[in-house]
Amino acid sequence: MIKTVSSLLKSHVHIRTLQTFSKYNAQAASALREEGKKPVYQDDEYADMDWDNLGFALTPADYMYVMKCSKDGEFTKGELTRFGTIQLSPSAGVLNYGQAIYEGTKAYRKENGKVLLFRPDHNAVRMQLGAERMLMPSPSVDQFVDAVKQTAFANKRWVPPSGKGSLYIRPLLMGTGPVLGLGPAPEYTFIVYASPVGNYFKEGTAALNLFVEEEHARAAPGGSGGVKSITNYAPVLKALSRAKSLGFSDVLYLDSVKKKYLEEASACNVFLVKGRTIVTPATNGTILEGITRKSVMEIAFDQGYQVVEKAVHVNEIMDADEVFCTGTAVGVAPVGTITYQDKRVEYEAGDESVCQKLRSVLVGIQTGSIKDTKGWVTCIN
Amino acid sequence: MALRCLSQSSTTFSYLSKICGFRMHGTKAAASVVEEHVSEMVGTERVDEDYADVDWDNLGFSLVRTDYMFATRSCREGNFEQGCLSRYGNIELNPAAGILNYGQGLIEGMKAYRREDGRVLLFRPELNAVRMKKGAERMCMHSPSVQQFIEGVKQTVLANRRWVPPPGKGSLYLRPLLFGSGASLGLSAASEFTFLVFGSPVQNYFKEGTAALNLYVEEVIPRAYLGGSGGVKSISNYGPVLEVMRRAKARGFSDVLYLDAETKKNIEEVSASNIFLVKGNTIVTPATNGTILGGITRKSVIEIAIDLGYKVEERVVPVEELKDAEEVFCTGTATGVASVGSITFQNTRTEYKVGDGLVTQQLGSILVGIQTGSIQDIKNWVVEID
Repeated sequence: MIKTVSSLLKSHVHIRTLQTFSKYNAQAASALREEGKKPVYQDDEYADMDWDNLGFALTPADYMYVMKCSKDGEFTKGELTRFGTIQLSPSAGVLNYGQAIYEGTKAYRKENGKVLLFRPDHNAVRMQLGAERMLMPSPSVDQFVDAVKQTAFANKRWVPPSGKGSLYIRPLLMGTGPVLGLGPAPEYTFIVYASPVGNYFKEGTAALNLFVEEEHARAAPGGSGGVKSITNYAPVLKALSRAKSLGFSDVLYLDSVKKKYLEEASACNVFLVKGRTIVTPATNGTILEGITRKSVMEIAFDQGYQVVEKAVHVNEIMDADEVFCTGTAVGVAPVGTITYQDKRVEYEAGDESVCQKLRSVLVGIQTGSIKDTKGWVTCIN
Repeated sequence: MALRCLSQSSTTFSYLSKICGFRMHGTKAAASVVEEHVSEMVGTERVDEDYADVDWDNLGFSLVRTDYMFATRSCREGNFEQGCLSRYGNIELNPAAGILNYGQGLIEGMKAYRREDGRVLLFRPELNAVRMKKGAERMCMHSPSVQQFIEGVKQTVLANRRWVPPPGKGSLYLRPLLFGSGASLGLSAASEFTFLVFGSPVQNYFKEGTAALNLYVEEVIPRAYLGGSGGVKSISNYGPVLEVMRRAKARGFSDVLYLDAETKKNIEEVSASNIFLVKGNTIVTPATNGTILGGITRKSVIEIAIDLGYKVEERVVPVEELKDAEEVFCTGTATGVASVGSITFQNTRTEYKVGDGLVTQQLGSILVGIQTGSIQDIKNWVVEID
């Protein structure tokens, strides 16, 4: 598939917009003809961006990937198309009943210019688990990884130069067929779009200030917190915006039952460091099992730290030497302070911290400057 | 030009934007053209009641494409444009839209009823408008004003008048929808919101028709939790219960009755309706404490029951009380007032009285009578839209 795409791109064939393309048989290589538009694919190595000032706002990369299926069917005929609006029925399942899950992964630029993906098969499996929970069919692991690879490759000029950021890739699986009464959609659409990004937080790489939220919970046992359902996010916007207006970077949520155990932040997992022990809340159904989380745990273990997954009582934040967050968008981000009720606890952060050590190993592997002995990295060009 | 767009445009929202574009530039020309077109249609149809080509005797609850939908967008400051009708069809969204990626959306549910004399009625639309406003505040969204909401709903009904079933054959279900249409990559509220209304003619919500329902009490998966969004009509409350519903339906149940997340001891509501227990002269329903949706049908039925002399209690309802109830019924816009024939909790199945002459049927017929204009509306619940 990738060879086909690359030969297409090399011959300056232009890809149709979704609307017109859907009229034709989807043999990705054949049936593509010039639309009469001026050539838009440029052979420039990099898109025209201010690479030194990337934040985390959407700058859509040129191409996105789209694939559909019916409720009982299989996903087939996925193809790249120019990034643009998608058409949805007003009665689509995703719009009326929140039936959708998403993923987050990145493409990184190695020093020598090559583009690398990091463990996309894990995102694929996580999407499958999420789809099952939300009563949706999902692309196979191979289809998912292929779609991500195609998207990264087609948009490689949007992968920032080495050291300037990464290409954030957003797979999204939605119920797009029409439903009126509450029920699963009859048709599903899987898309992948991308945007070059720098730091997730406004603070840049500076340490974060977290606020422990006691009123709003992010998830409840039996709910959908353990999968990456879109339904986990809008309800926390209120707590998040309130915290941000008070000057915090993000919110740390507690379990909904006892309101005593740490769970995670709005879009990242959390770790506490004490001496040579690293502790993180165990994923028990309410917490999203992060891929960055998983990878950092393995790196820490390899480096000789004791890594413990358990129920973490909120009072343990008082004793930690360091605290850090992990996520695809967030990376491995040091936490400078946590405010819980009326107490503000401060932590070590800085070049010699455990957080920074783990972060540099992870980033080194992701960007190809550290040898990848675990088969975590795939080069796409 | 705008008129031609309306009648000939096949689908997209882009035509809508063109018409609304006129509005944004301050001319009333487009607005008046749209209104004229709608009133032309209404004018014609009043003389000769023209129904859409639908098998009115066999309506269920699935989507029937009607003629028009209503839409408007907000801008950064939070005000919604005047809004207008367009042919029902696909809308275009940015793949990074807040609703698609982060579930930032609210729904409402209402009905338009046909009175015996052919006039079309709405039921307490201002309550849906206010509920959407409260929901929007909880979900960090801008919302249309109560007036804009009602205006949008009225326009949708008027434009789709021929889709309102004949008296006694059902109703036009209306789905106002408010969602984050602006793009957000990182987790944040969208900066642009869309308010849309579309409709579909419907009859009975459940496959059982008007037969009594069989409910299953779900003990593992909650519908909502304290501090969550259960008390507002957020789309995020629905996706996660599809799995539970599927399992219950596969075992022959009509729907699921959820328990509170904290103790798993008290009943809350059904997937898309509230619940009531009847014992003697007392009617009991779980109090809305943040996790339960405050239904408009629920509120109306409570008031009707009080007027009839029943004692109505809104309180915590332990699941054990299901064993002692004489009757049980569900209320919702889509479901109406629906009898429950049995509830299965753990391995015990409790059965309830169903049929004519019972409290459920009494309350249900009064409500329907008011909604369809056959009972005098002394409470000003009904709005004639002509």
